[in-house]
Amino acid sequence: MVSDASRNIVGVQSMGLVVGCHERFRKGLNNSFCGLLTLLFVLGLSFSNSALSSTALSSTENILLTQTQVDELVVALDDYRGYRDQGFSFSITNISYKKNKDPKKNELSVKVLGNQSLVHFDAPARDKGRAMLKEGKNMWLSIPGTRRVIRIAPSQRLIGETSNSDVVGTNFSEHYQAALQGEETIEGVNYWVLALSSKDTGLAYDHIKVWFSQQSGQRPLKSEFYTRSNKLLKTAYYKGFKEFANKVKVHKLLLVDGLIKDNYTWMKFDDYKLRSLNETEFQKSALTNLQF
Amino acid sequence: MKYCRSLFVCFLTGFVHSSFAESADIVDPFGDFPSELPNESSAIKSAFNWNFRNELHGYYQSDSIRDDGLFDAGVIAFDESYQQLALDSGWQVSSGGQWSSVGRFALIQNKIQTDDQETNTTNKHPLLEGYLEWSSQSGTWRSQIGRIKPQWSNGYNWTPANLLKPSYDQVSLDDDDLTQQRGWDMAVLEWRTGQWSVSSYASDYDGETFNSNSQYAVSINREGDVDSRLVIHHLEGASTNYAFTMSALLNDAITVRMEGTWQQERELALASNLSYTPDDESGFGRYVFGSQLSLANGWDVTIEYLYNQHGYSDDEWQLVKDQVSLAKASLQTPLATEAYTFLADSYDQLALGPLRKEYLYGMIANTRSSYWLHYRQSFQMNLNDDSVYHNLELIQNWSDHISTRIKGQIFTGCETCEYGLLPSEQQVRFSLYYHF
Repeated sequence: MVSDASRNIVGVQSMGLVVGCHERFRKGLNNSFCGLLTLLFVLGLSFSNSALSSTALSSTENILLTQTQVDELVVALDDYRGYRDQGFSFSITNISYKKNKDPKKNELSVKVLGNQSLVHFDAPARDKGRAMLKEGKNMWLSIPGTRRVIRIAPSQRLIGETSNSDVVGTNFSEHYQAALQGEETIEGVNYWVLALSSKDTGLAYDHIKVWFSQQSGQRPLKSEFYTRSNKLLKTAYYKGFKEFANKVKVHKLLLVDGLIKDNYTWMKFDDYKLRSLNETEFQKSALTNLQF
Repeated sequence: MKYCRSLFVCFLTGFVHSSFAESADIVDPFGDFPSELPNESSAIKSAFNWNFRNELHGYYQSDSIRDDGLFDAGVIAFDESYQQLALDSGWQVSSGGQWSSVGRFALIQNKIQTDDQETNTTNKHPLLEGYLEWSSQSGTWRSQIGRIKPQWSNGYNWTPANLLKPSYDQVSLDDDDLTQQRGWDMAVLEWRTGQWSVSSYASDYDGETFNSNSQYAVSINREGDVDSRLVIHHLEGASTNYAFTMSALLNDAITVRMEGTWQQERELALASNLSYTPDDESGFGRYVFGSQLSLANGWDVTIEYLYNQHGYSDDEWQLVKDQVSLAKASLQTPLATEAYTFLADSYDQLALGPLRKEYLYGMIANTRSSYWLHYRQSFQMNLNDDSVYHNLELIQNWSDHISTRIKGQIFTGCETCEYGLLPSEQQVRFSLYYHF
């Protein structure tokens, strides 16, 4: 008799292949091979567990995760970084490390309203007073010495080793399509593995894998961020959470470079506040006189 | 021997320690904390917010002076070395509500030595900006009063849309020259909604070029994928001028910009009879097209083209050269006074802006990267006479507070070409900055 655990391992591995094949099928590659694997997978599941349906399954409880539940997990991920459509502010401390180099630290204050965000540079002292306005892909930078406000490209990384999206957050539920890829057990804890594919062009990351705990709270453990060519850009480890006005937010994040493991950045998010913000605050002319 | 053994033990200990350190896990720099901290109050701690930004900087600059400049009659002593010590202090105070105040002042001491070894020391303490701002509860209406420096240009290098007079913007921005950051005493009323904003300005005019006391402007601005602005500027008793700016994102790595102005009066005067007289014609444009490419490795490449109708055509430039020759030939004649004045005025023309019609600017820099040494190299080329102004900067951030910059500038071109006319042939400047 096959145990639940081993059966599920087979199921997860097969499911991984099917998800992988689905991706390949979508890209028009090796269709017949994928079809054969899919057939074998469906037959295997029919023999091993008649209760299984075409949706995903859990390793320990055999519960199904519907697409609605998958989408809810992605919304929960957004909620750990913000308050969705409501205006809010928070502060960030970044410390970036590179091998054989002194760590670099910066401190920022951020205001967010929908897809608009304002980033004010508080430290180091030489950058104090700089401000960046981001509205979707449009970004402007103000440098206090000259008071000039110039348009900058999204690829311009202004904040150490972290991308602008890492700082202001990304609305994953709006910009990405999520699917359950499988599950994994890490140090005795079971995790859902979600695959997020970008719906829009011009995003910092083409696709993302996110590990969610299956325990109550369903907190994220880590995320892997990939390019369109499937190159791992960075891995984010959600290292700490903190309550702000009864809402749990990510408090500490560790970003590790996908190529150079010695390059990593610690981010500390703090002072989350719901704010009554007006869209008139998110204009270029406001950049030269920000109030935080 | 015992000493050597101790050294060996120390070395071995250090080696073992460093080996462990390299293989150790990533350490949380923020320290341990409970996984669930108590609920943090969202109450604002203080009604008033204060923000300060201060910079103390000093520099030393040495210039190589040309021996035989076209406009040089041999009587002007040119500045050969400069020393500056300056405090640049900015602040912002907010009541947490509808009122706020922004200010910036500078204390500047300049010590200049001329090429005839005369030394002059000057002290300045300008208020660069200082204003009070009120905004309505919804943020739709804003008003500012005080000394303000509006920036209508969105330029990388040239900023023709900054129409307020007298212009403090230079053809090449000098970060260390704080007087370029001085604003105008004015009142501003602004209306904002969505992507639109309309601002109106009433400002004093303290220049000498025009017989005016005040100037007015309206700026209509729309933000978005294609960012655009229209500025209408009126100088009391003189003229109405217009500016248009536009910027857009071409793709994730390339931005483009376009800017144009149309002014009634020509900025440069025409040479005739050993003097400069204003051009009778009206309507002169200045247009800029530029693009910036941002590479993934932290380098930015910028290129910009300027077409300047205010500049001299070939015929008009020939007139200047002819008049200069006439002035030099008249130095020992009864026309000597006019001749000397004309040559001195010719130098003043150089400070008014680009002398000719077409220019190209290029820059490569890695100043937004986290490299150990920041590099910025640019050139500004006069396409009419092929003279070039080269600029190279090496910037090092030694700590969060201390930075240094070494800057070298070379001006090349024939003796009747724009950058060949400048008194300086080469400049080297070493600057030290302390931010606090």
